[in-house]
Amino acid sequence: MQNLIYLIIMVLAGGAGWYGGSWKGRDAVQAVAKYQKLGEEAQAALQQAKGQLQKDLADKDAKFDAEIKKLNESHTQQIQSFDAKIAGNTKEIARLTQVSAAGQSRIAGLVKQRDAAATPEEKKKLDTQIQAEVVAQKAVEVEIDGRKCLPVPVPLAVLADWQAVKP
Amino acid sequence: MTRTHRLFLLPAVLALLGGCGTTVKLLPESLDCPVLPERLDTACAAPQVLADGASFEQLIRASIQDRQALQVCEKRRADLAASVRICNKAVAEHLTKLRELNQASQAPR
Repeated sequence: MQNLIYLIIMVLAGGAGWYGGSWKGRDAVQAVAKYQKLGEEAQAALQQAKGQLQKDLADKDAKFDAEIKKLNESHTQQIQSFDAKIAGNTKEIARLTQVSAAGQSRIAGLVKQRDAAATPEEKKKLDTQIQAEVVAQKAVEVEIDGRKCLPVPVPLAVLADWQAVKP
Repeated sequence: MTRTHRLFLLPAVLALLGGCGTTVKLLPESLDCPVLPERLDTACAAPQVLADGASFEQLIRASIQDRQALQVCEKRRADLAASVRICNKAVAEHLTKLRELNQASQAPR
């Protein structure tokens, strides 16, 4: 009988130990499950952030590539236009010289007309025309002078200032 | 079963027990900033060089080249700055998301 009581006590003690242990274990299992879920959610958030980041960077890269392409095309056109102007410089100077001579003749003719004008109104009108012709003539001469300068070497003192900043 | 047999059995049992365990990835990898290396390595073009005796035409041509180089250089600088801004924004948003997840997991059940 005593042995039976010991046996029952042992079984009860065992049961209590099992129950207590499983209770603690349940907490641990729940904690692990919680951290596992958290880890999975964090991983999913990371993948989403990576995807969005790559898309944003790709959009920016595409915009940048388009801008650089546009810039390079514009530069190529600019150089072609410049080359064409340089290639036709002598011809253009000759053309502008003719324009200038024609302008000078016009101005001389207008001056003659003004000096012979019968009324002050007519004189004033011709003066206005002369002023406009002189302005146009000045612009042509500036263009000729500038074009004549293109093949001329830059004065060394001026070039030295430009060269002062070394690459 | 001999003692040697049991010794051989031990790793197998341990391996099986290992399979019963749950692996929890507590620290996921961080968010990096995948900027293309060639974009990071590109330098600005050096200014044009003109020798003594250079003509006004060459001076203008060099200026055109330098202006182009400056514009490209600025575009590259702006592009890299934009990359950093985009990455900073992504990292900040990701951190906010992680904090929210952390907070949600800390909330009493």
